[in-house]
Amino acid sequence: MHSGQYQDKNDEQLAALAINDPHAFVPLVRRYEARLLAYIRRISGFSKEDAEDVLQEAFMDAYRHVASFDNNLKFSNWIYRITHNRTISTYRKKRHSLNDYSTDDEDLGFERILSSNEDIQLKAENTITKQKVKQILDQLPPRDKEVLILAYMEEKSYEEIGDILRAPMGTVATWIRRAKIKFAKLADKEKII
Amino acid sequence: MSIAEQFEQKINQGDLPKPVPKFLVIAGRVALWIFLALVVSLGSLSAGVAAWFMTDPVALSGAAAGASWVDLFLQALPMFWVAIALVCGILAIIIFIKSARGYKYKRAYVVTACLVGFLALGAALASAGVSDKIDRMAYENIPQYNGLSKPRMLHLMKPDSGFIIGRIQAMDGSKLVIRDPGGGIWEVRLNQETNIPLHFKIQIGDCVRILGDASSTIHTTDARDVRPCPRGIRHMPPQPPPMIER
Repeated sequence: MHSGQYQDKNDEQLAALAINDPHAFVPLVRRYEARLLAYIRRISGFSKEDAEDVLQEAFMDAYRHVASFDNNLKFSNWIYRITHNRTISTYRKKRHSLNDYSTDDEDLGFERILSSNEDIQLKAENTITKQKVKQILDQLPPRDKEVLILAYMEEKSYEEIGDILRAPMGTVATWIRRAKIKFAKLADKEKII
Repeated sequence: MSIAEQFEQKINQGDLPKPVPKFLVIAGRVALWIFLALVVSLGSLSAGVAAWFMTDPVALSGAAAGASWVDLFLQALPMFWVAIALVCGILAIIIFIKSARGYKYKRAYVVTACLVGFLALGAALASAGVSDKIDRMAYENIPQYNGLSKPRMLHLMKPDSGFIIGRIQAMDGSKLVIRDPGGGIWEVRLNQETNIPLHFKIQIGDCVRILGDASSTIHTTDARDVRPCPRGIRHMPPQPPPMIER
């Protein structure tokens, strides 16, 4: 069989088909490749090459365990969760050799983080650089950084973030609220707002 | 080459490992839920036995004899069962949270539900008489259980204060012969004023708790109160007689 014939299927159908036919998994890889690559780089700061390696491993993990995909969950959340876990585990191993990464493709994401806080929004000016926002994100504890990226760059809902990070929705809401406060404080300290 | 293309290439070259079969995934989930059910059952039974000991009216009635509530609580509290219930509770919570959708529930709710569930199931089992049977079975099948209970039994054995505990070896209308936890033999004299609960039909082999006149030298006492042993002790097997040094 060829992966082309599966183009009209939705993610969950493809995941079910992939148990018996690996070609059904190819459209899924195609659909998520770019955004997961960006996500890996956002939360880890990996170079493009390293991020691609991580993503490849994440897709292999997902394929090997595709039979354990719970159809009540969105495939998108499931693949984000696998990618997230794989990224964190790789990040812990090679934290010392991280490269800085370009933020050119993330204008919208950084703007969304800034506009998420009314106080910041009022003060935000066009001179705010993406690089500074990234610097603040890097100063935040990993959990705060992850939830802000998921909520404002990946535009995931609280429920989706809960599915990705395996946490109840209420807890996610608390994490995001705290992360926003910490972000605002750091932004104020850095005088970027 | 994109990752999708590399993935497709691996498929075509036969380099892609096969996914874990569905039946293995299902078997794993079923095994996990069976394990959870076993842990919950054992935890509930243990909580039931613990609650059954702690609500023992015989043990609690000792408060009148001058013991503090803390002492009584610790006497009645079977640490062995509480420990098993705690371990099972922690295991049940971990298994549930690690299950496919367990993360959706707040941990505080899961812990509360586990606690309430264990106590409710345990109370139901205790009121159905299961706790008493489990206590008896533990004495019969777990050699160490006897050792765990002995300190509690010795705690209730205070001849200087008039407290004697032991198993009836012989009896007639006017006296009981009992063997205490250390194996010592006591003659307990009964009289018109000896208080014995109406529901308590004394038989040879029963474990009894005597409240009598203080006695430490001669193994004889006049009983004021004869009561059954507290729960958790009454199934304790008879103690061997003390070794006689030659």
